[in-house]
Amino acid sequence: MGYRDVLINKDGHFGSFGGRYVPEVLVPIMDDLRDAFFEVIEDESFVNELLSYSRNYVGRPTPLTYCENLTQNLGGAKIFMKNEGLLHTGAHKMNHCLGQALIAKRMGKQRIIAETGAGQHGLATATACAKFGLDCTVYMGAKDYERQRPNVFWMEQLGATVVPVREGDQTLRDAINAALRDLIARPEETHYLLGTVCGPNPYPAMNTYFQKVIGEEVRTQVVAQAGKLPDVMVACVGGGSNALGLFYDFLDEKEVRLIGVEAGGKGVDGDEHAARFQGGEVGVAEGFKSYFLQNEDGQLSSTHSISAGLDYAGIGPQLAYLQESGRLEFTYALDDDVMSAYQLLARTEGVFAAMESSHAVAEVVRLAPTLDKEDVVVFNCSGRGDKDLFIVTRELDDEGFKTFLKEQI
Amino acid sequence: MEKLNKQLAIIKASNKPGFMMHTVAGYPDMKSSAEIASTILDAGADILEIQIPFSDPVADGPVIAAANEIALRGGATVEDCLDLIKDVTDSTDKPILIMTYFNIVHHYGVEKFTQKAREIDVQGLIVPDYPFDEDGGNGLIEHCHKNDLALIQVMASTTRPERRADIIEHASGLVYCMARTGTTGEKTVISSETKTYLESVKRVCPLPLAVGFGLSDREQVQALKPHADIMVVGSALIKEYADKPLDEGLQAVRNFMRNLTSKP
Repeated sequence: MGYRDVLINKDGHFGSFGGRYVPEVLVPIMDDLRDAFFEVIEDESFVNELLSYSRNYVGRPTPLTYCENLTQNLGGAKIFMKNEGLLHTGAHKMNHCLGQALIAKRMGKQRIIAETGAGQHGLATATACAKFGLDCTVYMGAKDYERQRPNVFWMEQLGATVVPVREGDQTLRDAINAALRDLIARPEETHYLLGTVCGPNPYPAMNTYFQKVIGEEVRTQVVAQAGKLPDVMVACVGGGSNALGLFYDFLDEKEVRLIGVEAGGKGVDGDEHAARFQGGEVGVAEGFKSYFLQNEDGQLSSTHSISAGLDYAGIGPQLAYLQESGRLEFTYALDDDVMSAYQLLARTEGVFAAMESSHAVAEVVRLAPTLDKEDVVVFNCSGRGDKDLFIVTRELDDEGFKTFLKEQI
Repeated sequence: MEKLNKQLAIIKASNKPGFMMHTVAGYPDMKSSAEIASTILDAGADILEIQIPFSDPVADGPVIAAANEIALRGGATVEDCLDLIKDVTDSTDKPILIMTYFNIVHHYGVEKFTQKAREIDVQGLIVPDYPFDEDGGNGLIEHCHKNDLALIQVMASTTRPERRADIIEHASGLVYCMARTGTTGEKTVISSETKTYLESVKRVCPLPLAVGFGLSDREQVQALKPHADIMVVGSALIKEYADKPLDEGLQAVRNFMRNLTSKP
């Protein structure tokens, strides 16, 4: 069996990872969702509906761009960027939000709930709910709620209710727990639109299915532009949805090197990072078995990254499986290198990559000069950087922006 | 499991509902939680489940989740909790169960954890995020069996009929039925659907039924009594001693237990 068959399977185990470790009350909910998902993907009318909205609402296909200036600047392999930042709402998250919203509609669920860290997944969920006339509640850790005010505002404008979660660290993990509790309390009418390839079966398989379009498009585009398949593909990895989206179609072609980039934060020796393969261990939480950053007792750790989207203690179970099988390589990028990479891409190619995606850029900056000039590298610009305005101006200590903010009050 | 089975037999024979109470080790702090546990037992609990706190307690409602968080912030380690549980089992003949999430067991080592539980005279485990069909590769069922521990199975009202039979097949000690759809700690209305559900489980389940999730008062106990053997109370009890000085908290526990267990 090829890797692709393992990754989208009804049973939801990927080697020893994955599964459906949920309270019994959620078991029938997950089983219904699993059955509905595997049924609709065989249904031509669903596939056509998904395709139609992908093209005419979300903006697929996204371009693959040859980064000529960046290539020359680094003096190594030819660099291509898959620009998911041009998707509606500005990131790849819209792919699985669209897909899940369409499934929820077919299942007759009128109420959507979601967790969000930085607010990107919440924003994409709220957008899909507005479009399809669904009620939307988004859980957000109270800390994130405070520091991501612009996204809270946009979600509210789209008609969503945003609930700050005051338990725990008041970040993404607590938002996930709150969403799961909501689902436990109101399972019949609710669909939990989980935002990455984590969580219990069927979420990893389902979100992989909705994201794999990224790599499928790349295949055609890279052959047309470079005349061959990529030698190396690079994506950042938080939960793992954009990485699996990019890699999935190439998993069974072993000559294509696939590299995932985790958040190295302020360094992987301390605890201010979110690199699960640097010090994480196998565990079970939030409904699935995978690698988690955890302490000596098995309590999940607090994490740090400059990018909220990568700031999470767990990693998708399929990625743990692919890492263990040796199919995927993992590395990490430090906050400082991410900022430099962000600036370099902006100046050479005129593209603001999201802080998350800038982790992939940082790896490209490191790797490309070591490769042959004939080699082809494709990285995923999973989201655009506009959303990071406040983080970037603070990191760069921009005086003009500070003055501007003061004057706005 | 001897103490558990003996207690279950006594409950069955008594024609009165048994009471299984829940407490969180290390909440509000380790020393107080030891006193709270022994007070609950003295005040009439038949079975006590002691929770080892976890950072991500998804099956718990806000009250117990907050207790988990406070216990962990206070520095409660798994070893501390196991020491506390040993002290409790040393001082009572009533059965003590450990409730915790699977990552705690997994990280400790399934074999080691179950051996340790037996060593400290624990009668069984409740692991709410461990459905029996995830046992492959983890082996918790086998290791509980080897160490004479009940691995308590939970059943929900929404559990599919064909799955109910599988749950019962994997059950030992008692079967824990959720009285409502929801996490622990919000008031449950005992509807006719709840009664019908419990009766339908009872018909096919040879083990005693415990019913829980959201129980807080005597009226509910009266309503459920004909349909289940054991009442499980968690959040409502914790609310009694949360935010109170220890002495007052212990008194509140005694009053609560007296009210709960007294006849109408």
